[in-house]
Amino acid sequence: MITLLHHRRYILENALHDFRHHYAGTGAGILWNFIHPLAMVAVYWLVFSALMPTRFDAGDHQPRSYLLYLCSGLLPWLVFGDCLRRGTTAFRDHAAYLKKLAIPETVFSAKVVASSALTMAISLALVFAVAILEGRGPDWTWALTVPVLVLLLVFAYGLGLALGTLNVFFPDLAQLIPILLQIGMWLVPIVYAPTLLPSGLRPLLALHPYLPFLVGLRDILVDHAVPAPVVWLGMMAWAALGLVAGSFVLRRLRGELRDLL
Amino acid sequence: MTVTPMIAVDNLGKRFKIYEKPWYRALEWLDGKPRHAGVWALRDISFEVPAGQCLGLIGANGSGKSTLLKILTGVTVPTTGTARTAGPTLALLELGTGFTPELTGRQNVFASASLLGFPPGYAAGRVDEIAAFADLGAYFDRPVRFYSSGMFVRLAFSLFLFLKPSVFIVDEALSVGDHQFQQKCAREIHRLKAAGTTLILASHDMAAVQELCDQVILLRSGRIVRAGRPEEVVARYYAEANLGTRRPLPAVPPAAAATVPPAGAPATTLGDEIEAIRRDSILTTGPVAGVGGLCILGVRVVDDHGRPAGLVRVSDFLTVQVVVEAREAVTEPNFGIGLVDRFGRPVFECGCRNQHLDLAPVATGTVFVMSARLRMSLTPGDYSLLVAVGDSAGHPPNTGTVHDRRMGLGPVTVYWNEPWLPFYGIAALETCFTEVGRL
Repeated sequence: MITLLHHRRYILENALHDFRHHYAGTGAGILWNFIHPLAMVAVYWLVFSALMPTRFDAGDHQPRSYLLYLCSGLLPWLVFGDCLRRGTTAFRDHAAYLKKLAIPETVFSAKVVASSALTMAISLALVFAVAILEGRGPDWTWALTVPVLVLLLVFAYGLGLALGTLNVFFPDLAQLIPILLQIGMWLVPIVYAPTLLPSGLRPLLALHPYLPFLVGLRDILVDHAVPAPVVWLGMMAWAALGLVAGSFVLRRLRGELRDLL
Repeated sequence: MTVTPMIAVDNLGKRFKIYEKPWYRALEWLDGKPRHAGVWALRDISFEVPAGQCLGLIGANGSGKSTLLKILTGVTVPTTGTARTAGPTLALLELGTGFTPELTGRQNVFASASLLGFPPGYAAGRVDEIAAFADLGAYFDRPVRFYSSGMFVRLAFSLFLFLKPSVFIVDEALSVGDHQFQQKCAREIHRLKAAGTTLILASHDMAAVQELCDQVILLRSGRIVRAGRPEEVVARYYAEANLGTRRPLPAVPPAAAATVPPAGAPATTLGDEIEAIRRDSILTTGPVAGVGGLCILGVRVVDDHGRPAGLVRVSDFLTVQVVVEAREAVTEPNFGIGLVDRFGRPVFECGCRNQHLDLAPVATGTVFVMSARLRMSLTPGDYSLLVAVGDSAGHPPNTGTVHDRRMGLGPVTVYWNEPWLPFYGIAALETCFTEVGRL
């Protein structure tokens, strides 16, 4: 933690730099940060609004906007997935630094999360825009999305630390993670209604790390409700578990990590 | 008076785990059974460096210098023991690591300083000095990707010099840039040292090591072979002739233990001589080239006392003796020898014809002995020997038919054991210095 504070300037400057230069040299430049999530939303919305009525029922017989339902779950998930993918390759991507400079490994995981935080802010702004367009105007509960998304990013940081370390030893992991993320996305009701899930699978749903975050975000953004304490507990538990896993794996393997890069 | 050392290394060791397959590591985690081979890159390393002193690290490639430096900078985690530096440590291990090509020289100075965890004001106060030292002119404010490799190195070196660490690690970096910049760097390093910066210099440049260092450590296979005054340790380094890793250096030239007649009692007849050469022959089953006709039966290398020798001091003599059998008649036989250095460069090759010695024709079945006495005025190191016989008849100058050519013999080791080297470079030219006079 102290090392992260010590290197905060580097982390933030570089996250900003990565964010700005990720699409450097392209015509639309920084706009791609908006175009990508919008395109994803457009695809799912076009496909699923044909399957589901635009005012659809999430299970409690209250009609809702499918678009808002979709965006509130999908956009944060896309950022989370991207953050995890980049966290997995963070140490290999920065091998040149790790091999030669005594910069703590955590700096590079933090950098990934910091740039994801910027993308997350953009995604959140898009969700707010959709909500306003759908007539679900600004509400004070929106402020609660910040702690939810911070907890999600803390979880991503811890998990990224563990995966990034393991990926140095087993590079196949970088290939495996996108597949797992793809499967993970369809296991929780992000794009479909929870009622579509076979009832036998529902108890297993509780084990999905994204579930409390998804429920919390939907409560706030779709229903303007404060998430239940058990949801908050779920989010905090995953965030804490992520941090513990990350620091445990890194501490165990730190001695060999840079020898293998 | 007890002075706390700037660098304290205690019982340091680094062991690398080698796995045949990457997933063996996972299996090992699961069942706890070791499935790796361990290689100790460093073992039992202990030393201290007082503040303001310079430590030299020397040794052949692969002796563990880089691993030790990486542990000192905190990049590599040691397996055993501790390494402690009392203050910020900067290394020139890889110049310009962390430079972003799109940023200008000036921006990179700030970015690198922040990367290394220095506060923002730190680089700002020094950027003008850095710009002046790097001497890049307008290029200082252009993106680094337009830099030549020399400019890149100058910027990196200037940056590291002016970040003013307590411990400064220089690894072969002194041989960068043009001659003028090298001298400037050397002066700056002297100045840093005078100002109390503790230095570690890992180098193959013995002149620099002797000039800058207060103590020197010689590493071989990850262990300290010798530590002490620069002259002593550098002499030992040369005595090992850059390659001591492969065989231990005998205390006396190997000849002393050889089976030949003692000095002063050379073989009496040519028959005895031929027998002795063939007995001590260093011929191997290595590469053979040639069309046959003249055949090399034995090659021996002896010192001036007639003792077989594989080791010679710079500028002492060695004699190469070769037994040749003519399996067919040759009208213009020629004989030659050569030396190849450890980089594969032919250092010297010479035949009888080059020296205007025209050998008489030989008849089928003749066995004859050739010898070449060489002054080994070469830089210390390992040299492999080649010998060849052939026929010059009907060929223009500098050409001929090779009958038998044997390469890669030896090696012959040239060593030196005094602080002042006799010369620098590949080979010694006959040189005569004279002070013509003073006004």
